[in-house]
Amino acid sequence: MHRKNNWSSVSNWLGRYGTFSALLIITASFLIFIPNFRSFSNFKALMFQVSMLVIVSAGLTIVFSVGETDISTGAIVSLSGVFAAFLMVKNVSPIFAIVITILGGVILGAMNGIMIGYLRVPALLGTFVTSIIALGINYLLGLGSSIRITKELSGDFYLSLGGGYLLGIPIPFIFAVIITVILLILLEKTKWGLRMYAVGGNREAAVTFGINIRKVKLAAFIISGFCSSIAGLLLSARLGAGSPIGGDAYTLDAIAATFVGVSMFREGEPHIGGTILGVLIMGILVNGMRLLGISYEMQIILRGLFILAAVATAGKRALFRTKLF
Amino acid sequence: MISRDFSMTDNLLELTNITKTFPGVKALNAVNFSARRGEIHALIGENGAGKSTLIKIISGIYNKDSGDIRINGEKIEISSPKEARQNGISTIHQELNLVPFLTVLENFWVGREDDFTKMFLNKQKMRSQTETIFKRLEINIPLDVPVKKLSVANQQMVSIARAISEEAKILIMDEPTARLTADEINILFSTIKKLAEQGVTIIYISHRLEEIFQLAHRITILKDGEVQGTIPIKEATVSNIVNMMVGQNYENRFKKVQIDPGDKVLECIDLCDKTKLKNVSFSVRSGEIVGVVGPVGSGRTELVKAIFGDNPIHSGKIIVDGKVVHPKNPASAIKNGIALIPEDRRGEGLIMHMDVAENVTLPTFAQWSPLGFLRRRLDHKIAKEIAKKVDIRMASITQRVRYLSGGNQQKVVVSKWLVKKSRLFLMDEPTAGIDVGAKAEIYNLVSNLVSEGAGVIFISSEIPEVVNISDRILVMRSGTIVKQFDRSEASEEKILNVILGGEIS
Repeated sequence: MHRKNNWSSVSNWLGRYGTFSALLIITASFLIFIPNFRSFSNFKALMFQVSMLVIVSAGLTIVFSVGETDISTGAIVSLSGVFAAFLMVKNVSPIFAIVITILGGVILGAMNGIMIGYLRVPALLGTFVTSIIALGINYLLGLGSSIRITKELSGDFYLSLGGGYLLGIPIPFIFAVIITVILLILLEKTKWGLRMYAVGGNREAAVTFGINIRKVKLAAFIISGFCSSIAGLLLSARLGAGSPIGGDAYTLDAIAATFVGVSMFREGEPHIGGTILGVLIMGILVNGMRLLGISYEMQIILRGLFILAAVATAGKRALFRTKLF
Repeated sequence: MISRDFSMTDNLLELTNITKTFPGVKALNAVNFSARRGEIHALIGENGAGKSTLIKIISGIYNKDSGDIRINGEKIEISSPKEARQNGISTIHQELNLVPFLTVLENFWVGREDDFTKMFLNKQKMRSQTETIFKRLEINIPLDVPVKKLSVANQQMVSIARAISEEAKILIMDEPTARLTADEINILFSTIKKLAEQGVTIIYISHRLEEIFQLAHRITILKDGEVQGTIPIKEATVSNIVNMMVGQNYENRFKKVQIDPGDKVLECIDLCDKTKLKNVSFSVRSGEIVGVVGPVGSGRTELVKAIFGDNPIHSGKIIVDGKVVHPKNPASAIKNGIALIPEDRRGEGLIMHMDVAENVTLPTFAQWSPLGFLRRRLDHKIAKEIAKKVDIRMASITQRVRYLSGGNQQKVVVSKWLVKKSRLFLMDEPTAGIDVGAKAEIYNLVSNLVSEGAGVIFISSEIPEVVNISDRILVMRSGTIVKQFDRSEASEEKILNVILGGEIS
């Protein structure tokens, strides 16, 4: 019993500050040992790289805050890119394609919300079902290959959403900042955020407080679907193509990033700020590995190991809270 | 502070002829109950008397079968907790009903922020309103602390204050002092009295008579789903309350077979755990049934869990069959021949979708399956022998335990430990939720166990059955044994007296 207490205080510390220390150590060593890492152009590249993950993870944080989880994010990201490209190939105007795609993301999110909030399907299963449906539509539209988005097709406007700058700042990054700030305010400053935290924190109490649990959960999943579709649009604009698998990695990366936030803030509660920190760790790690010339395949394995480390050091509460345990 | 003169004949809440039936049980039978404005009305009765059913009907969790509910003389229907709240009825539950990591202020307003705002939280306004209510109740709790950092008592205060701010006229409190210290109880009591002075009606449920004498204006006593009487506190005495709770008619007396006790199977010396148990010493001999009674939270369950290695011991000794043991986990306790029949039969005692044979042989089949392959035929043979011995009524040995009755399920739980020939059985509420006929069979089963030389610790909230079956009875209160009765001197009244906080002689 005594031994266990010592051990649990060590693992508590690791769970709360381990990832933050990791971020500092990783960044510091990259700054020292990789000359290119310090360059301004790399900094801009990093901003591009993390933008989409920030958006997906911020949406996922909302879902975590109501005590659920979402593994359909990556599939919605992929589908959204393919969908927008498909529409534009069919001569739909870029603006209209964007609107319809976002609507699609919202509908898939609502599907998650109805299954999980109203029909009481477990989140892991419900969002998995949605991701399979998204995958099916994805392959139906693009037959499993990328749909190119050429300049002739979409004009400068669409492609600049992914690769352009505004006042020297990458446009996807601006989107990421705007969405993050809106969701941060939603979660921390509005009555809806408070209700979300209440539903996730103690479901039974929330019921006696007269909160409509089902509605709150539906809203959370819709926000997540919305965020994933935005990320998908930006990704396709960046790649110049709707890639059928381009967004798949976001499912796990976003869970890992959000997880870091859950372990760090409010002792086991989801928090947008923590999520952003998690995304930065993931982004810096990938960026540094690329600069070091580590092969893409090896990068995937190392990223997997990093996620494993984050999960292994996180407290039981965080695992429980994110329905991963 | 508002203090008005409330006429004590003015019935705020009035229940007439409330009846509620569950499959097989009449939980409430034509119950009449009334509470006046500003009254503290205690509700008392043994487990299963119908207190919680009555409370759940008033607070909208259950629907009554028949009868009327009136508030201020006006007939109303309460079919959900929300409707109860709209009628001014709030319940303070035993367990924490707040969101642990949100602050006091956030917990106070979440779900009804609309009072202030369309969208953004107006913390300043929320704060000033909360402070007003806290001041009125003379509560002093910081508003920006997460409620999980508060003591249980303060968490309760937050719940009470929230109910009051929702303009609750009737406050139901279910065993509110179960987890409080003496000082905290005093604070709670002064708050309750203050609320009553301000015109709030309190329905107070407790096992502790001394509290009721301190607080209540009237007491209503329930027994077997019927009201035995409502008496003003001035006319009440411990003995007349106990008499009304116990009643005269106790049938189905079980015939105890006297066995000469053998060696000590278990001895506990000055057992303490980290939280609850304080210097618990007692012993169990082979052939002996030792009953353990005490209110919920008295440490009964903690005690058997400590013996079973499921609750770390801080100090003291456990001696099994003459040897000092240190049960680190249930596995080592099982090796020492100790068996636990847990309180939650379905959740912890059985695997409901597996069949009788599988459940019976689960802890032991590995002994005769050295390579890990199941030997179904042998499993079935062994399970059948034991099922016959304890008389499990089943279609076949391969029937799923889910389809057995409660009593037969309990027999399967016990059977698991008979394969191993366990020497000491720890039974935590073995007859809970079992109908009367099946209870007698459980008593016979326990009787057979001891006649074959086992020792049994029998925990139960039903005092009559403990009196009937036990050779000795231990009464526990706040983590320690306050009194031991021998079979010859034990009676329901004496035991109730000790449990309810009467004199310990």
